[in-house]
Amino acid sequence: MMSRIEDGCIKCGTCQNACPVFRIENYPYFQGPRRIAVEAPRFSRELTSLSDSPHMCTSCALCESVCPSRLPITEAVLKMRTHYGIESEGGRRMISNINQYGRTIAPTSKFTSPVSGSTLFFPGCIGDARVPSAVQGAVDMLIALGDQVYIPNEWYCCGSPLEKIGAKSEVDRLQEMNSAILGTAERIVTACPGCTFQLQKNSNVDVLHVLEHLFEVITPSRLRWRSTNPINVALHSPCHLVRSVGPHTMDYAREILGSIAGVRVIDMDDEGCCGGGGGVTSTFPEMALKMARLRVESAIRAGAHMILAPCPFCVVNLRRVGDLEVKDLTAFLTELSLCR
Amino acid sequence: MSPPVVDVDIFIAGGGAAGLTLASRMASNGYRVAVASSSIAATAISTGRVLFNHDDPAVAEWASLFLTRFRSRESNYDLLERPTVAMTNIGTPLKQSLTNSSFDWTLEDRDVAVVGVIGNNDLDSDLACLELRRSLGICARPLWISPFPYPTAANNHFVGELADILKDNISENTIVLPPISSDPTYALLTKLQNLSGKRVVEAATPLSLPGLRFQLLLEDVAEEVGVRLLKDRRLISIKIHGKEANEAVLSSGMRTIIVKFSALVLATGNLASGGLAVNGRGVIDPLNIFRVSSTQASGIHSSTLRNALSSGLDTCKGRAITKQGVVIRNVIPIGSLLKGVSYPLGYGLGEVMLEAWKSAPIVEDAL
Repeated sequence: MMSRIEDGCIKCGTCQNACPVFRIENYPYFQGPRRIAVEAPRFSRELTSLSDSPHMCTSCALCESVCPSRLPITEAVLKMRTHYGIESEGGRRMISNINQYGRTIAPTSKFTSPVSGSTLFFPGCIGDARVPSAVQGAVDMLIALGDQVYIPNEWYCCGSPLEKIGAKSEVDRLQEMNSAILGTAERIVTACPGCTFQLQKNSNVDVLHVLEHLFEVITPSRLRWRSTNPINVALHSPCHLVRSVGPHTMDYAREILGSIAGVRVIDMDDEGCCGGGGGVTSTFPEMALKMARLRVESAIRAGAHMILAPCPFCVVNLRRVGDLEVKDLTAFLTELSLCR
Repeated sequence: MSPPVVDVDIFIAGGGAAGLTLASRMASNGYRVAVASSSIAATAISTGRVLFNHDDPAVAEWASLFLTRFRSRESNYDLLERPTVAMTNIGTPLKQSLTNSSFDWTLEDRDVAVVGVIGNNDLDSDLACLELRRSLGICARPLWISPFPYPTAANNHFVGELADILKDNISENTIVLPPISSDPTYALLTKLQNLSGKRVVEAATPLSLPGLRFQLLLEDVAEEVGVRLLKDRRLISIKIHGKEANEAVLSSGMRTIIVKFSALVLATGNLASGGLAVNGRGVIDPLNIFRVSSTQASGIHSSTLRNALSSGLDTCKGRAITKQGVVIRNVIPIGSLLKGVSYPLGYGLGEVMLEAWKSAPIVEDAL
């Protein structure tokens, strides 16, 4: 019997048109979502011809969001990865770090933060090791806004990146390790879309992205910033924030930024994936850089002085281009003056 | 924590041609309107070419809101006095009354070369020329060019190279190309036309950029007149009390949103099994609480398609009826969701937009 994804495909090709990887890496090197998710499993002799294709997917889920049959394409692509096993160098490194530290990257940062309270701020591996300013910024801002926020002494990877490379047993183990630490919080807040989605799946309490926390819990009437210098910012839409956590988050981001005197949000000429997700930055760093460059060039063309991204993965990958300043949205907000 | 609430006068589920047409009309009349859409609208994968019934007075009304705003976006859309014939990407004729006339091929063009780009599936020049001769008796010359990076909005410096190729190697005056860019302003085609000195036209290609451009224009106009677009948000339930609906629940990623409204418009596209907009698996929640019936759709040659597209929601004075026979006074289905108003790949865009436009009094009455 064929699966829903195999017999539900109407072969319209809309997913192939939407795929940001397919725009820059063409057939036969990369074969596009339809080929990986539908045709290869349907005609299994073509599995071998897929070569690296499943590993080049950034799991942006743009394919899925435009699919007229609403097929779970991303999930099917990740399944193909599992089929091939964890082959990449990046994947092996991640697993070895998980075994050693319980994190995908060795812990580096020391944050200035209370260690108990009611709102648990979950730093996440990338936030901790690569964009500590986003974590510290978020905690400082929430404290300034009167929130009882804390970072626990110990915490482990949420499991999201491991799910993307098909390492199911590690995902389960990490969830077990985190459960006692996270179970005592009244609410969990993160600055990482991947952590938000992954932790919420297995949690009884609200796990909110910091934008949701600011907008829904702290509420916009208490958020009053101003920028001393006028600045044009390009707002990047992180795939996992928009399509996993939900598109309302970017409405919040636009509304918060739009209310700040001196800050002008400018539109980039097309929205797209920065290439920072799905483990692609470690398996295909050149390709991830090429994708990031498209975003940065688009922001420069639009006249941006800076790119803001509410996702540490996007921040890290977009920064690699180097032509334009890239900041985590929360870190940017923290640096503005709060009008009290 | 309770889900966020959106409070509007009119909530429209479905952001394709029907939903956006009615939304724009209502918003420009001063109502608070929100449109939720999930997945891709059938409009966006259509040919983007519109055929109107020119005797219908609603055409002029529609044009007064949309056409001027289209033009201000340099989209080059014109409303023709009577329909002309254009060519699809497989060489079949296509009637249209709203067209970007600078870039559309019409029957009057007889000196035509059809240029395919190797590896680009949007235009098969050999096939198109064979079909052109068979269906319209027109001899066009099929040509292929190499797939050097085809111009896009992001790398438009290739336009110059492409213009040189067209100018130096092709004697025909009219050149048909695959869709060239997702740029809704058609700026690249204008540039290509100016640089090459040729009349450069696009094939009317479904599942490609022309439909997407038309969709983006409709969305742009809707936002300009004050419609709140809730994109990628999906209708998951409708709360009905007695003969009235007053609340809908939408999913937004992993969260939900409540929408409170005075009138609910359903514009979710056709219900045909395997149909596009609903989810590809036939009628699902929350639409399956409404009565479905079937009528013979007209204007479709293939009987298989005609049968497949003939079913849709039943209505009483424009209102939806539950399976138990209760008329819900403020739920109004429009567009291809109605029985008999479905066409394959956008042939029905014109009818769908006009009918949606004309349903405004029903919606006002339900408020």
